[in-house]
Amino acid sequence: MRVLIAEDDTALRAEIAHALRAHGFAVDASGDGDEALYCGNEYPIDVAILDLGLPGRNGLDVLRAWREAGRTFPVLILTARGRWQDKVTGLEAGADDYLVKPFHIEEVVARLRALVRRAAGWARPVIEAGPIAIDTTAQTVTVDGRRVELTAYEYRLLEYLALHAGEVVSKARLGEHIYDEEMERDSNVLEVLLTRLRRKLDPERSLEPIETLRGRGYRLRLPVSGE
Amino acid sequence: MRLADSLGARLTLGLAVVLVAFLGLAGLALERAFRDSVEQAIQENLEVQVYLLLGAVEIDAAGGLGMPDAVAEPRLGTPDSGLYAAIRDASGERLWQSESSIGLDIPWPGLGPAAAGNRTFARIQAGESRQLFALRHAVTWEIDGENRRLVFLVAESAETAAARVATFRRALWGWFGGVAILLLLLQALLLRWGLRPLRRAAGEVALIERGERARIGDDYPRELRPLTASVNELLASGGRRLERYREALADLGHSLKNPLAVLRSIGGDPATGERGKEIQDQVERMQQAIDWHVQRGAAAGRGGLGQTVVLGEMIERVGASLARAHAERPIRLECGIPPSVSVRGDPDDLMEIVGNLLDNAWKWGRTRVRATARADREGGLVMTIEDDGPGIPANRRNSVLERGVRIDESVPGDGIGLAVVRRMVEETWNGCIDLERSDLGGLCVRITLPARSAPVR
Repeated sequence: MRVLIAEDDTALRAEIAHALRAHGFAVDASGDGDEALYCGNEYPIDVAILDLGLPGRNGLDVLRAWREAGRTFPVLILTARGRWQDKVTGLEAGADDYLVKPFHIEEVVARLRALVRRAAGWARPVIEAGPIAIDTTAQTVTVDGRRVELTAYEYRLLEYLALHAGEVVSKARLGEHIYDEEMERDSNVLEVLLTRLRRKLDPERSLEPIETLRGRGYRLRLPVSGE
Repeated sequence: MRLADSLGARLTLGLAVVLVAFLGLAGLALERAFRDSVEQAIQENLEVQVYLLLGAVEIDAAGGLGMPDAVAEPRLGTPDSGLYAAIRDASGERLWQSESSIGLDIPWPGLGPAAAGNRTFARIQAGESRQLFALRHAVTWEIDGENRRLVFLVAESAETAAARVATFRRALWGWFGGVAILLLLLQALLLRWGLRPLRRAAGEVALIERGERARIGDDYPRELRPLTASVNELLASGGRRLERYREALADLGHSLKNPLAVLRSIGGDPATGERGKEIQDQVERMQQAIDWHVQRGAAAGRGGLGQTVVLGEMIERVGASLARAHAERPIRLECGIPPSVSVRGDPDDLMEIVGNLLDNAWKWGRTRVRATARADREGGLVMTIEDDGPGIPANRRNSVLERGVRIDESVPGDGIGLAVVRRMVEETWNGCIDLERSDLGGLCVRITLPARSAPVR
């Protein structure tokens, strides 16, 4: 899950980025309104945290510009003043949720997850694909009730495919969403990751949950519920 | 109305005293002048009578005095006609008297040897009730080469004169009374007109106090302009100072937020160890204090000068925003507030109230949130926000209106929402907040705003 953090306070930005990475997000961060606008428009981000008091271009303008450009990723706005006028204006400008500073970082993570799920059309935090259950809150995966230990990248890969179940996801798109801009991307790494994930989920090769469509990408094949 | 209390009373009373004194003195002077002129006329008339008698008197050869039977003036021949005459000699002995004066004992003035001079005019008292104006005219008459002194005495009753003076006086005071009433009325009108700018200024200041006006108008008379200009300047500088304080407070709050957020997440970091929870608790307390004071500073005394908010529209807006933020919750807002209901005040402040209440309703409600508003008997506004959540037990309702009290620690919140609402309702609108049980099953928050702050049309 790739998240953009637009927050001008360096310490807070670093703190959020650190926490989100620890929670398995791919993080892009910006401390400036214009840069944030650019990142939101150009990077394939899944969710954004937007501080309303950004230098350069304020958060509301950035948000409106994103929406006008047709960018639909969910946006969590951060307000320092906590005035309802700010919250309502932000939500009316196209934000999906708000958080008043200061906040518990767990709260940010929970809100982001909920936003991403909601955007993908999932109401409940647990996505079930056949015998595979993905708890997006705890970030744990079970197959037939049996816990499967995944690395952060393996989890991200599975979660992204599950959130877009039934769709064919290209290798490039997959890479963009599980890695941030700073990461050197190598399609071989992705293939290795996928192979490991398949082996962990389906050691007996009886399930074949992820199918490869040659030249087009990958697809989570199992019927999904949790909507 | 005490005299010192009212400019109008002072001026009315002062001018009335001046007016009455002027009219009174003028009336007295006029009356006196009229009386003098009446007496003057009587004196002249009596002199004419003397000359007529002088012309009519006959001295016979023996030196006796004769008077024709028919004196020219018929009143002299009529008894008790009011006009009397007599002629005496120097010693006071009566030589002749008119028929009208027969039987009357008239105490003629200036008789006796001591009386010198030719002419005396006096007012005399004859008998009990009769007042007379009398003229004594002495002449020296040469009879047969001998000079004889004759005294002609004429008198006229004072009643006619008194009657004329009385008539004049009645007319005079009647007119003066009418004029005085007219002038007093005119004066009252003038005072009203003259003091109108003062009344208007007082009215505008009252409007400012109620938050319905920002400043006093500029179109005042020259004498009042220094005052109104000073009031405006005072208001402006007070407003600027308040704005500076508010900004300073908001800046302080804002600048503390990010460090607090960092501290809080350090507290939550497992690497911090067991004291992390302590750090988080302290951060929480600091945060609450900041929120409380910043919101207090931001809302205190903001009148929302002359602004009105369409309540239903605002509730729908906030509701739509909350529905967006809590898209996963199946909550439906029923807002039955007609567009004609509006509230006077600062829109930001009102949104703070509506936002906090609806946020609570959304947090606790299961499927339904209801907002209503109606006019109460005194013309104020009663707004309710209800939900179908678990509600608050009656014995805890008062305590949740205190700051920092949270009914359920497991649900996120700062514990100041209802306290902030209560303070704003009470301090900014002078209203009150009550918590009740809703027939939807959950909490019903009822806000009552007094008439002057909540116009319901």
